[in-house]
Amino acid sequence: MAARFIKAFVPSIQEVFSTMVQMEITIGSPTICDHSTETADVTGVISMYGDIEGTVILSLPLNTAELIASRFAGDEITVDSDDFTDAIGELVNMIAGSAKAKINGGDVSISCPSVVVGSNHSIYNQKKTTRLIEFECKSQLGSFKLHVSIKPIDAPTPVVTKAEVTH
Amino acid sequence: MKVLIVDDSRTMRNIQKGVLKKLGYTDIIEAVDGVDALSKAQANTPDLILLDWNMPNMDGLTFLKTFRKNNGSTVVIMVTTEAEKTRVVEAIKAGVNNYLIKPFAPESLAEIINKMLQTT
Repeated sequence: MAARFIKAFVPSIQEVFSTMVQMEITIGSPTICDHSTETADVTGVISMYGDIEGTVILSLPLNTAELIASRFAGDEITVDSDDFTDAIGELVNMIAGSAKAKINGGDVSISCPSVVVGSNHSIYNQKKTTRLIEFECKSQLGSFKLHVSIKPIDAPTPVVTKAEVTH
Repeated sequence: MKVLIVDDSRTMRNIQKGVLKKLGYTDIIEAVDGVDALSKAQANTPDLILLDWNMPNMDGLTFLKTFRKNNGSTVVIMVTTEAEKTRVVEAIKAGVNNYLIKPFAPESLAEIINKMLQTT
């Protein structure tokens, strides 16, 4: 099951960043975990629902997020700008949308994205019936992570992920 | 030539505006969802609409179905992450003229716009 999703998300991440941010991404071997292995400062979250349920989470350090958002928008953007969270949300939206089409999992919809900004937060998978797939992504603008927690709807328990802010 | 861009993401609207301006189209109106788009389409009678699908309040497909009840001639290009064949068919049945999947290179959007406006 994880292999099917890995095969969808790896090219989707690369396609979104090469097309919209003009940047190549190197993705390491995905790992299965219950929580993120590193903290982040900026996280974009989007849900998938329908025949497949799950969550796609893009987590970045602040500096990397600002650089990526700026290149995506074609203008300098900092965390204080109204466009910052919009840019991050749109990136995770496109990654999820692109992967959704590749998964070909039936009738699947995507929510509107949310973006969390806060220093050193972690991503936790709350329900133990699914795991997080963690993709480590490296780019010329810095490293970041994509987490995916996802499964078909015929599984008994829906997916929930939780972000906890630590100070 | 009036163009209406409908997308809840300002980043995406700005990217599309940039492509339009390079093509020489400067009379650009923006809407953030389907409800906003219906109001602005009625007030401005655009010649071309670039339309996102997934938006709050009213999605792009619902806007298109409503819009097409009274307007069959405006060129509508859907610009969306919805890439499945079933979605494309839905949009065609609702009256879309062309379809561009996100992520897209600006040149691809420019090409589709030129193609659609040359054939109308």
